[in-house]
Amino acid sequence: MTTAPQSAAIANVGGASTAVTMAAYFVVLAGIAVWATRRTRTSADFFVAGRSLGTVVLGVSAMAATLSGFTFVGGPGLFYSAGATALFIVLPASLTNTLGAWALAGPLYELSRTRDVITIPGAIGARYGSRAAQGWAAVAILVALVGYIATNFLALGYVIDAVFGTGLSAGIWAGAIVVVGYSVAGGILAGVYADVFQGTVMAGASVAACWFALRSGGGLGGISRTIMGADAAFLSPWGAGGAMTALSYFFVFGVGSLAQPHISHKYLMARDARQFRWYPMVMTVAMTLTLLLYLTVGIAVKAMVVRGAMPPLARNDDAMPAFLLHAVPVGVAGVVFAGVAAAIMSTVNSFLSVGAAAITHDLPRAFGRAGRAAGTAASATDLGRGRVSTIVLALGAAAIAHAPGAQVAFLGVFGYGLFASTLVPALAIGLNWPGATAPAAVASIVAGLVVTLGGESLNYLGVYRLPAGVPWSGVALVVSTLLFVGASAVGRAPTSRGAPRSAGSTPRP
Amino acid sequence: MPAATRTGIVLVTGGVAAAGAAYAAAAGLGTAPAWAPWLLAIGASGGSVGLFVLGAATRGTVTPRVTALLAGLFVVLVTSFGVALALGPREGPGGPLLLGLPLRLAVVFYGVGFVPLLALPLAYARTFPAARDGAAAAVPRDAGDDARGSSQHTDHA
Repeated sequence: MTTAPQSAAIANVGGASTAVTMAAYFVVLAGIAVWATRRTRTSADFFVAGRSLGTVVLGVSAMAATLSGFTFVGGPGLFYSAGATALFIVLPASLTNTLGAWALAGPLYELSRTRDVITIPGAIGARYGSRAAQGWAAVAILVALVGYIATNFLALGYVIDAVFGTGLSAGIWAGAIVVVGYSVAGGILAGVYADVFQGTVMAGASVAACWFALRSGGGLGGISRTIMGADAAFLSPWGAGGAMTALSYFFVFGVGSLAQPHISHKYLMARDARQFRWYPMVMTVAMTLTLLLYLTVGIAVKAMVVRGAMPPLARNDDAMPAFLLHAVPVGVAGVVFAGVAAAIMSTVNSFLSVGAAAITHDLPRAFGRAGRAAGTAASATDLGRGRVSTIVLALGAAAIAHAPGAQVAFLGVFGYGLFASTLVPALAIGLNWPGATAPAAVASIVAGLVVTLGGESLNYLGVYRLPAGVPWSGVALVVSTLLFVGASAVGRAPTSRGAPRSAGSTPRP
Repeated sequence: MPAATRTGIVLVTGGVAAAGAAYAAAAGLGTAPAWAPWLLAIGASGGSVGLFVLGAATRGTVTPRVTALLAGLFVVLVTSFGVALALGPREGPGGPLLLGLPLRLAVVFYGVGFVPLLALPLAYARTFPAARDGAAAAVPRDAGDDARGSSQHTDHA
């Protein structure tokens, strides 16, 4: 759930003990990187972890990649300011953890084994037999990724500055170097095992923060009663944002969840298909624990402000640091800070892997360069290119993170919606609908790009703004999906054998 | 096309179109009319359940139990949102609480957030052995057999 970026400095409330905890955290990451580097020999190791992952690693790493620093800082801030509206960003998780496995795990796993697919654009290319679809999917992913990574580097810079006092710019570069270090050395193999460690830290920090949050307000009922006495709209079912905004969050973050390439990418890494059986359960348990902080800290801070136990916040993003300062022992604060860093770094690593694969693998194929089998010795060259692409992508994103805050925020804010509008039709629907066609896939991806970028640009420049509760990401998702289904329905071309593509003519594996 | 796949496409398309109609009405009028959140709630629920139906068809698990589960899921989602939309505000001082939350918020939070959370992962695991593990029935081989070899692609980026 990578949405609004961290946009302001974070106060360090733990002092030296936080620095020690964070340093220990970085040491563990370095150890994982060294271990993974020794096991990374081919591009299949680098991009799909050698197709070796079991259920727990898949589930926990997918959770860690899904939840970014927004869960720990921006989310509680949004809850503090908008009340229950913020709930609707995470509410779809009750469906989406299972929906991903239900609709995508099987088809993507099959493509990884029978077609040697190692990327999401590659899966789209294989599904439609279309280099154009593969290429446009790669372009869409790269456009969305750069802003995402930049905003996460910026957030990481704030965290490192808060803990070590480095200054923001040095914090950004230090964070980028750490992430790039283990991403380049060990690729996604280092990433997923780091994710398991990071996911454990995130879940532990979240459970601890939730316990202290509930304790601070006399339990959930006590917090609700306190807030209801002062601000009834805050805990209305839609919060301060209103019904359209809340339901739009549910729509975009629900349907759009199937189009997040850094999550779908995990389905290509399974050891065998049986690993998926309990994957939704593992991911659901891990995510539920990790979201406890998101769900409780914002309203706990609101209740503390209402009671007068804490002054009103100057900035919404201060909710988490203020909570740590007022309601959490210093030692626990260090763990929560490590949880924030873990959430950011696990997401960035996954994005870097997906982006590097798009540069190394998908764009060259889209322009006609044949690739090598992913797990062969010959793919060692691709491995080298993957590492170089990771560095280039990370350096570019770190440089962008130094741009003025509003511009970085603009780049980061449309990432989720861009994934949704460009990839839901071609990937989530197309892999489950034999009637989908290649031209429709290309048209939907391009439409998603144009509407999302065009609309968000109009909004950013103040030229045209949609009414409250109508996001450009939702509009783009509607346009691209209807275009995809409509174009497939009217433009279904005969196959090379002269028969229309349909389920009846689809051979079963 | 199998009936389940057709149903899934209809649900996804109808759900997304309903959301689009809500957005169009809000954009056209400058503010969302009272019925727009209802349309968006039904559309978002229908679109999500439609994707489940499409996935079930691909997995080969369109059994009566799964059909009932997904129909129940749609009912739970729409009912939870509908109750919250239909009931008037009652979140003031002394308003009723349900499991620690104001009544309307509790209906949405526990109905949409917890019921599927408990039911869906179990349903997925229980239907797993019956599924054709990892099958990609929707991938026509004549469309992508040679996806690895770029020379055999049919178009260009």
